[in-house]
Amino acid sequence: MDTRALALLEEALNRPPPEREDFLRERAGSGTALLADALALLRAHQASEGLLEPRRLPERLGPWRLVEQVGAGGMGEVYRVERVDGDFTQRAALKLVALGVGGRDAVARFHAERRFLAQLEHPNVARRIDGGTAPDGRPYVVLEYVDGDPIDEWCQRRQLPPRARVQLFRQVLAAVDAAHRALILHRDLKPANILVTRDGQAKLLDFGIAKRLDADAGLTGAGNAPLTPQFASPEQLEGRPLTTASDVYSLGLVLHLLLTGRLPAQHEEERPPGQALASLQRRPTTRPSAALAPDRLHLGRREAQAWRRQLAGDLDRILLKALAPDIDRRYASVPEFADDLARWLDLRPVSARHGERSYRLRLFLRRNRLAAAAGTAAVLALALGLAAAAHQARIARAEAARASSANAFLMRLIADADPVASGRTPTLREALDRAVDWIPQHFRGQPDSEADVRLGIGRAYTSLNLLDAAAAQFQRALDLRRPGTPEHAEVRQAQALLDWSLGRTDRAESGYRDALAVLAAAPYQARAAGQVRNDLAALLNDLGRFDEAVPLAAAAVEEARGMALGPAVLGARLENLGGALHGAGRLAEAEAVYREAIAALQQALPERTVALAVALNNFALVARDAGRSEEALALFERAVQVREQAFGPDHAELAGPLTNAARLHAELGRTAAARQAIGRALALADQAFAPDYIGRGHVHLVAAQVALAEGRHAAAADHAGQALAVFERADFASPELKTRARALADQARDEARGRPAAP
Amino acid sequence: MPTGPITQLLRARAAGEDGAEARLAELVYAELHRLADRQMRGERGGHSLTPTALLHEAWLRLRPEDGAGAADRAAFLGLAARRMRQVLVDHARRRDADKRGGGAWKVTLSNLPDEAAPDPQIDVLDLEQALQQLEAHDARKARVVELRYFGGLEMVEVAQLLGVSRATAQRDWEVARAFLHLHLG
Repeated sequence: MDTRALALLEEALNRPPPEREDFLRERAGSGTALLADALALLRAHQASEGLLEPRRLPERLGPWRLVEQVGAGGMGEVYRVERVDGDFTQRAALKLVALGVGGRDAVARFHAERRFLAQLEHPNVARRIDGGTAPDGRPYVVLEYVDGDPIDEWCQRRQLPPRARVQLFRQVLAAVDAAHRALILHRDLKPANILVTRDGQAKLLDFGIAKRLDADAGLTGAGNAPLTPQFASPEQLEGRPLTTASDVYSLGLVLHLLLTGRLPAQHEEERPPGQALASLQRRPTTRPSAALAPDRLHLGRREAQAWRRQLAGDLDRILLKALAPDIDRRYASVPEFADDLARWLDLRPVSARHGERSYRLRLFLRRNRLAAAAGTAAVLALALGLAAAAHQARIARAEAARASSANAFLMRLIADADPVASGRTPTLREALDRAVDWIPQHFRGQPDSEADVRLGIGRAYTSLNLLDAAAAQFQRALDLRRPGTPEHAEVRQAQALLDWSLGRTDRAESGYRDALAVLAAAPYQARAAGQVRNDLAALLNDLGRFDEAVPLAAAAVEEARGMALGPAVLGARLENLGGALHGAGRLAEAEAVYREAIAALQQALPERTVALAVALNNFALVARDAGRSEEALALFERAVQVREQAFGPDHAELAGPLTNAARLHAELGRTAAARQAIGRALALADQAFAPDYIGRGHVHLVAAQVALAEGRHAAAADHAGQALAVFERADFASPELKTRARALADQARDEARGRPAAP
Repeated sequence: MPTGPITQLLRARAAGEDGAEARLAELVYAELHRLADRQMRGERGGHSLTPTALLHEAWLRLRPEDGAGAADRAAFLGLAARRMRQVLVDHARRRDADKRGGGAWKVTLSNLPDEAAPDPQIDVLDLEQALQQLEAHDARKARVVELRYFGGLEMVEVAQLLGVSRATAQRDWEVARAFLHLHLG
């Protein structure tokens, strides 16, 4: 082989393919050995495509056909895949972890991540659809395939004004917030990972996966080398530990890009991490309104002026706070960031979150009996609890500072505990235990701060179901606060929720009543009082004391209206009132209230998706009791749809409305429809519900009814038996439920023997 | 294997410090050998192995706890690519020796597309021979193969390490591949 042949090929490759051969003939001269070599190389060039390149696709994994590789990194590969199911083709994205890299640890981490994703169900996060193991032992995860454009392009293509951009961006915040509550830091937030679908839904991609697939995210948690330096926070560039505030910074960069058409000057170019860091520290961020790049946003001079006016002031301040290089000056959490944007958007002086705290926690605690891991709620409780503390403390700035120092203390603890290393619940619990140990030295001589932190930790323990530990912290917090003060009442309220979840409803009720007495008499505590009234009404609903619940719930609703607490809070309180009215037999009033609740909750989507589904389901029960079966069925169906949209077709949350619908179908004699609905519910319940979760019993009870109506006696007896087994182990199963299960089992046996059912 | 010194060595080498390169090479070489040994002797012996996976694992093991940056990683992979090549050749030679002595396990390289090559597995020693021939013609092109195939570097990283444009690196890669295809054929 002549070395010149290589040089000739190299030159030929600069030309379009059809001209290459002629070029070689011209340059090498016909008949020469050089030409022969060069032509052989040219042919080899075509044939060598893919040689020594990464491995070809496997044909399929599980039910998924691999269509094309769309990405690859050190720790794995990403493919576009399809599943053909009848006439319907489902598209998805499949991520395959690399094996041998990091060995067993990488696989263990991947599995942990997959569990997190399963728990991270949010309408703005690309959903996990499936997972499995490839024949070669590599685990994979299948994610929703998002057909959309990166958020910056999406906005640009539609020439959205600033307001609409901020509104869209709030969906992104909601998604990141959900992840943080699941203890997942995204760490690679950038427009390419935020797609917006044609109908305007933002979807966050690469959640957690990106972080785990990144080789530099080692087991120890050390090494935070950013995947995308342009969108990295200063601490990420420095390799220091990351917190939720680090994601806040990256989100700030994305919003800056959306609102000004560019990144802050020090982020504009891609540089080696060291240099970027130096310039971050040296140069303060320019006010975004002054950094506006009209040409990149395709704005005329007039329009640019209008944009600048909109950015100047609040939006400038919000962005500069999100982009503060110093972590302590930044928003500590996504909700704080989101709240400020919400205030800018609608000029309402309130954060919708505050009044909702205990309602959410309660809802969670209920759902949590689905044997789900409890970690999510712990951070949720921390964040919400302390946000509330900050809110009330607005009366005095010093107290606000105190609350935020408590908040920072706890958030740091949570961030320090790597949730992936040892599985989530134990890690979080360890973090909390450690916090408790540290409190004495950390807050010596600061009883107010100590009480704040103990209250927050107690709430976190509550949601982890570590109720004794929670009770101890609440008691310490209570002792640190002065009786008769709103702060004291706040702890009483937290204790009441704990008592309630332990079934000590007498103590819960007196706790709420004490708190209410203090709050109702204190100045500036109307919001807190309304919240306690709402909680107390919900407790009374649980106890079946609907007549007492109605006035309390009604007062809470009026307070929400009067203080314009927003549709999320109002909807939740209306839902409570509807339940009380329904229980009290005031069906017409209940119906009107539910209609309003549903309208309000629809305005609060996607945040209030679960509450909306609950309201639809409960409204359906009212319609059923009013004898309007068709309407009830339609409402159950809508409840199912809302949950399907939010969680996908095979989420356990669907089991409730499906079961209700099945029961109604059965009562109407529509056995086919009943069997279909209950079949779906059974599949979900058996897979997702703990053996002692009462919901599982309900599903089997209705399954027994349906089977009996169809004359399938053996199946009916089996389901009734399973229902009874659940009820005997469940916490809150009433004697009536057990009696009904037994009666159904007897009836099935009797009918099977050809005897008439016992009366 | 101590995990501390690699970054210091990488930086010492970048600063042109005497002996840093040799010590670094020794460290990397030992670690790669250890990994390759384990992989080939273990339960998965007989399976094909991916050079980049091995290198990645080596990096994970050698990289210090205090967080080395992306530039360190690229420098490491650039250096380790050549060692990787050595390791694989050493193992292949031992394989042949073992075969003669009755031991039977096979080392092949993966990452080869089924469609392009009827026999998807290229023997390490054949590849080494072709690569040496390429080196004689054009050392930089052989180095591109080393970095890309044995080091698993992205084209952009290859270009940066060699101080050429991405387009040039890409052309080098294509010409080298054509050459190798011809000589492996």
